[in-house]
Amino acid sequence: MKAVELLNVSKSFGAVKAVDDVSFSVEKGEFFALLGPNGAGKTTCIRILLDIFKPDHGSVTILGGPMSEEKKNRVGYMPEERGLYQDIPLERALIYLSSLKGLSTAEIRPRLDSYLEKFDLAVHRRKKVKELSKGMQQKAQIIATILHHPELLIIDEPFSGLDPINTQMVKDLLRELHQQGTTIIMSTHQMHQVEELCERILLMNHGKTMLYGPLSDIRRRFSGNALLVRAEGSLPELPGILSIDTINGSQRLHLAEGTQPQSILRELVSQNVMIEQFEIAVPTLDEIFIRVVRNQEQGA
Amino acid sequence: MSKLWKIIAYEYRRHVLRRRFLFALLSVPLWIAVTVGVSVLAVLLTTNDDPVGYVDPSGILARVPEPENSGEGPFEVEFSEYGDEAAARAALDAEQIQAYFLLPASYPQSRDVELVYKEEPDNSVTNDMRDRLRRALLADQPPEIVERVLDGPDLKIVATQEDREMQNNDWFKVAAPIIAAILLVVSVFTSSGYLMQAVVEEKENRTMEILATSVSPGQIMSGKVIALIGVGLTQVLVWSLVPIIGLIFARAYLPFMQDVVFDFRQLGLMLVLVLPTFVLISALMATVGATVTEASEGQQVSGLLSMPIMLPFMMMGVLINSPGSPVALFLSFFPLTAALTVLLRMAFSTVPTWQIGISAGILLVSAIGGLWMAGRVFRLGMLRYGQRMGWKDVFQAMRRTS
Repeated sequence: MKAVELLNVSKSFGAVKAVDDVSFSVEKGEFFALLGPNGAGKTTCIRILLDIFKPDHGSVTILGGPMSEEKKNRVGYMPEERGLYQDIPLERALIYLSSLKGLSTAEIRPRLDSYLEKFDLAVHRRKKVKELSKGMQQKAQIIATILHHPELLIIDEPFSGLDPINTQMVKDLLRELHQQGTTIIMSTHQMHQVEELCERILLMNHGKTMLYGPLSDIRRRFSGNALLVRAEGSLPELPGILSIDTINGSQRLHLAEGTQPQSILRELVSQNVMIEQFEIAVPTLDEIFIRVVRNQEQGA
Repeated sequence: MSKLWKIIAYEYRRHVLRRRFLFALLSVPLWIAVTVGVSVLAVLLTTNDDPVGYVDPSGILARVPEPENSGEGPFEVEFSEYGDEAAARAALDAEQIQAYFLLPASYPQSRDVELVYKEEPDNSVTNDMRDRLRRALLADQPPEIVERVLDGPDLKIVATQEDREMQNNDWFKVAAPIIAAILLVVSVFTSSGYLMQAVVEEKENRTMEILATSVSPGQIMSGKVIALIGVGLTQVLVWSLVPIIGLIFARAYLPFMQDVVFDFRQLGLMLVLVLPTFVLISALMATVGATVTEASEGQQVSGLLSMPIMLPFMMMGVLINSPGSPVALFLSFFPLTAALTVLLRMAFSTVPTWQIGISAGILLVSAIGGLWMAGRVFRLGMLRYGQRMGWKDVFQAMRRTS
C-alpha cells in the first residue's frame, strides 16, 4: 500500500517552474530519500505533499487520499529551516506543538520526559528555546516531530548542526522508527546517510526527476564496467583493461567492452597474484549525484 | 479540547504573560491611581477643615436644624455660632476658626452677609452657608418643595432636527461612549500590534510551517484573533477597574456623583460595536503581519491603517455640530470608522436604532470578511520568507488559496 503518491505534479511561482511533471510514490513502511541540489524543488514537493501549496497540475495522495485535518495528526514534519517558538520554555513549546497533533497533555508528559532524557535535554526543559545551542534546538525539533508517533515522517536535513554522537543517535532513532513501521521521507544533502538508511531515492534537479528507484539498482546502473582490486605488489599486464586509476591503495580497473570480471579474476589467479580485494566498483551516491547534475547542466 | 481552543489558550497565555504586556497592563491603572492619589492628597493637605463661625443676631439660621453629619465628611466644615462679633473675632485671632460670617439683624430685609477671614476659605464654605440660608428662608415650606427649589430645573435640551437630546445629569451618558472609544483605540492598537508582531516572528522563525501542517490556516488565524480579543478585554477590564473603584468611592463621598446612572442598554450597544471592530482590526493587522517580512515594516503599514480608524476623532467637530449629516452617516457605515463614529455620536446625540443596527451589521460582515481574508493571505504569505507581498498578491490570495 502506498503511503504517498504524486502523479505528474507541476508547480510554478511566477516564471519559475519549481516542480516540473514530477511523479513518485512511497510505500508504507519505506525509508525514502528525496535528493537534489539547492533549488531543485525538493522542499516545494514536500510542501505540495503536505497541502501547504496546491499543485498547478497533477494529483497528490497521502495516506490513502487527499490531505485532511485528521491526517495532519498522522504526519510528522520537520522543515529544513527550524521552526520553534524562541521566547518560551522548551517544555511549553513542545507540549503546545504536540497538543496541536491531537495529543492530550496526559499523553504528552510521559513521552516528552522519555525523549528529553534520551536526547540529554531534560535539564534544559525550563530554558527558553533561544537559550539552547543550535544542536540542542535541532534535537528539540526532532522531538517535536516524532512525539505524536506519526505514521508518516517527513524530515528535511535532519543531521544538520549535530555532532557525530548526536548524528548517530538520530540515525539510530530513525532506524528504530523505520523498524516500527513508520514511513520516512528524508530530504538531505548528506549522501552517505542516504546510503546507510534509505531503500529508494528520487533525485531532482531544476524541478525535474533525474533518477528514481531502488538505491541498489541505481548504483548498479551507474557502476559502469570497472573493478576495484588490491593485491600484493603491482598488477601484471591484463587483457581487456582500458585504464587503471589508484584510489586509496586500491586500483580501479576500467574494463573494455565485452570483458567480464570473471575473466580478469581467472587471469589474476593464473598469474599467482596475491589478491587482497576484488570487487565490482560501484559508484558512491555522491559520485552519481554529481555526475547526474553535471550532465544535466551541460546538456541544458 | 479542540485545536482552535488550544490555539486560543496558548496565544492568550503567550501574550498575557509577556513582561511588556504585564508592564503596560499594570502601569496604566498604577499611573491613574498614583495621579488621582496625589491629586486627592494635595487637595486634602491644602483644604482647610478648621471650623467656620457665624454671628446671627437675626436668628434666621436657627429656623432650620443643623444638617445631619455636618462636618464629618472629608470636605465638610463644622459651623459654630458666636453670640457677638467680638467673640467670633477673638476665635479667628486665636485660630480656632478659619473665618466667620456676620449676618446683621436686618438680614431678612437687606440680604447682606459679611465674610471675615485671614486667608480666603474654599468655595465650599460659602456654598455651604448659601445652602443653609436658602433652607432657612424656605423653612415654612414642605420638604419636597425645599428640595425642588434647591435642585433648580431639570433642563433637557432637545434639537428636533438632529435628534439631539441631553439632560443636566446625563454627563455619564456622554462620558461613557467617549471613554469606550478611547479604550477601544488604545486597546485595539496595542493588542493587534502584538498579533502583527507575533505573526511576523512566526514567519521569521519558521514556526508557521509547523503550525500549517498541524492545523488549517483558518483555525490558526481565528485562534489568534479570538485570543487577541481576550487579551484586549483583559486589558480593558484591568484598566477599567481603577475608574470603577474610583467611581464607587466617589459615589459614596461626592454628592453630584450619586446621580450617575449606569445605562446597561448603552453598554450593550457599545459592546455590539466594539467587539466586531476589534476582530476586524486584529484580522487586518494579522494580514499585514503575513504580508511583510519584518516587524518594523509591519509597524509602518499599520500606521497607515490607523489613520482612517482615528478619523472620527479628527472629525469630532462635525459629529458634535451635525451628528445627522451625510459625513457623519458615511463615517457611521464605513467599517474602519463606524464604531468610533457611532460611539462619539452616542455621546452627543441620540443615534437612531436603525443606524446602530446597520453599523453593527456592516461591522459584523466586515469582521467575518477580515478573518476570511487574513486566513487566505496568511496561507500564501506565511511561506514567503524575506519577500513581502504586494497588493496584487493579496488580491490573488483572495481569489485562490494556492
